[in-house]
Amino acid sequence: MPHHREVDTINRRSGIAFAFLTPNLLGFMVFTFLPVLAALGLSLYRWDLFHAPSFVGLRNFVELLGWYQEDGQIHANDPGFWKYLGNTLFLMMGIPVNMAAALFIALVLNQKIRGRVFFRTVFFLPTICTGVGVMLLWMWIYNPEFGLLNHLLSLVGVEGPSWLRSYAWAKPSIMIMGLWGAMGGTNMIIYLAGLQGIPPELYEAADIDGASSAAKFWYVTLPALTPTTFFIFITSVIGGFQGGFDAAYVMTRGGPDGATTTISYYIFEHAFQWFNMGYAATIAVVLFALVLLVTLVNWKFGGKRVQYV
Amino acid sequence: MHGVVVSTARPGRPAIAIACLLVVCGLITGCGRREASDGAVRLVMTTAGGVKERDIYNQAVSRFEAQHPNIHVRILPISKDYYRKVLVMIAGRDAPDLMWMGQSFGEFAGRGAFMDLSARIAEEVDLDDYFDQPVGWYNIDGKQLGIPFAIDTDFVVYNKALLDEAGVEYPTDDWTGQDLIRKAKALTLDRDRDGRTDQYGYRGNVDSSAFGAEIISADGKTPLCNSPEMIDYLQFTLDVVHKHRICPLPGDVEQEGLDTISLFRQGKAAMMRFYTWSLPELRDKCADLDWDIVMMPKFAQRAHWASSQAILVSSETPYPDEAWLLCKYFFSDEFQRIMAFRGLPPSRKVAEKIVAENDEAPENLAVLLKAADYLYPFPRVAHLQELMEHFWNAAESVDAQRATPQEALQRAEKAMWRTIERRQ
Repeated sequence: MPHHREVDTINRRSGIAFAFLTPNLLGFMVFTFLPVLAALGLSLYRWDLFHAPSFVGLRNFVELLGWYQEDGQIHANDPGFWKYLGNTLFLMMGIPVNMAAALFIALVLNQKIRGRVFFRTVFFLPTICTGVGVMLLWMWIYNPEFGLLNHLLSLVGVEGPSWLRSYAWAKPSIMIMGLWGAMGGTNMIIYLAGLQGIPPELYEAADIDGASSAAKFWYVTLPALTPTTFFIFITSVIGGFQGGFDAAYVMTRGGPDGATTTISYYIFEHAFQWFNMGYAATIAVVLFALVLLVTLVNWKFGGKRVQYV
Repeated sequence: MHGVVVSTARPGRPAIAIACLLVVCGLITGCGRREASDGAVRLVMTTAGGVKERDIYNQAVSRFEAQHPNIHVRILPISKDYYRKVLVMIAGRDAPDLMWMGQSFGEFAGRGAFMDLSARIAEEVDLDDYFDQPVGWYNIDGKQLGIPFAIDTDFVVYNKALLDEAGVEYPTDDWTGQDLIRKAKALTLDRDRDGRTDQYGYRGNVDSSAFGAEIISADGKTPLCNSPEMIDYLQFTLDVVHKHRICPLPGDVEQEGLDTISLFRQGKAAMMRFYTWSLPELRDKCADLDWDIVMMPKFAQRAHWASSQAILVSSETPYPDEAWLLCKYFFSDEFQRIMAFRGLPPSRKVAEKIVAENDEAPENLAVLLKAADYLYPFPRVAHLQELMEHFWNAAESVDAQRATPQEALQRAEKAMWRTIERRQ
């Protein structure tokens, strides 16, 4: 039987642990858990923020995901949702590119080169700069008349498009901006940590076997980084589904013609511009289900490829 | 003694801790109610605008409080995302007693946000002197919800030096769309001959009402955008960019972060469309330029886009009488006069006096008086923004040449009908 003193110690430690956890738990409960529960409930209501919510059951879900037939053709009840889901998935195509760029930068900055600390700082700077400020800067870069990008293109005889006002170029413009910010960002730091965690004996063994640099990268570095890559991929996909709001709000207001509206911006429009809070909650619930499904699939199939060294 | 130490902490402790957390969360989320004061009435008023407007409201409230010692007014100035913040206050059952309203008045009014002031206005206010339209904008379903203190509208600003340089006559108030195109062509220049336009003849487009086109009916129940007049309007927006080449893509002008006044000041455009709220900045930043204003050109009809500003009383206020007392001040002649620096007073008498006493740019300030007879605001309907989104998407698809005006407007009309059905 544990002694009374040991019991007191356990109780005191539990109390101290709860005391340290409470601020975080409080914040999580108030700003995340309860609002998520509220959104789940709100998705079953129609609420314009001025009057009490009225219960509509699954009608919001039918409006969002259902369809109707007209002139012999099937039409989505909410074609905007599917279009903006497509926009979101399109923007997520930048994830592999961002990951590859982050890995490349991390590999370079992991070398013992002069000014390594300086370069690490410089590459990380976009991450710590205020998002809105960076976007306003990019709006100037993308300006078709006075912007830096079109000016540089004009020097080589190329007439640049109206980047953010062009339906074809608006999304790629946001992806380019995302790549610029992501390649030296948090993912680069995580890869850097991953690289430094690879046992040097593996490289020594590869040297003994006469492996080239490319072979070492392909057969030692990449496999050893699979846990890191898996983590970054999962978090990037989750972030990708939820992302795109900042750029749409600051730079394009979702245009032109809805080209840069993502699911998160669509939720914002319904909730705070069009006073359809219940419907916005419905979209959020569907997004949550989608992210959960994709994450589970990633976990099931991607997890098998992870190698731990 | 070695071995596994089994905790004998009471099994319910984590559950108790979580229960306490939930209670605290509930208390926190329940916070925010204004407590009743000790006999004095405390009103909360939200306002929008910049520093100058904030000072004006503060001074106005100080004068009011001096005359009504038992009423204290707390002003909540909101310079960014005004409507969203007020919306959150209303949703949180903490609506301000009085609120500034601009273009989104209809969306709030359509949801019952404002007190019916019909009886009070009929009894205490003489509206004979007011311009006909603006007061009617605040009448929803027969209820007079307020009276504006300023009307916003658009006009064309022109740089006299650039027109003189090109030998183009100054536009006059009776000019037409053809005059605009002709003058703008002569004023569109590639000064350094690099194949890129350095000075556009005109920037800023015109309002669709100038073509006799409407987007939605006044009651918000019928889309009207798919009409020959609207097709003509969208074709015009294409032609000014691609055929006449007097204007860049419309989106470039309105892109946030692009300072339109600096564009005008730097001579990037000889003529530009501006709005009354830009007047203070035009006077300040273009003080060394010789500029003036003129009415919007006439196409199928003469039309000026319009909006207005008012201080309105919340339908949720527990102090309707006191709130009305304060509200009355904010459409008085005195306040209209104070705010005339960035909008047209809705009282004809006050507006005429402001124009007569004007001794600074623009010289032709009388444009605003004349425009008062041709005002075309957006309809005051509850789902205006959601409906307008379909129209803006259509206009942008035409600008991007992804669809013809006919195709885009058909799509917009269909989408509007769907929205109207869903929101009934």
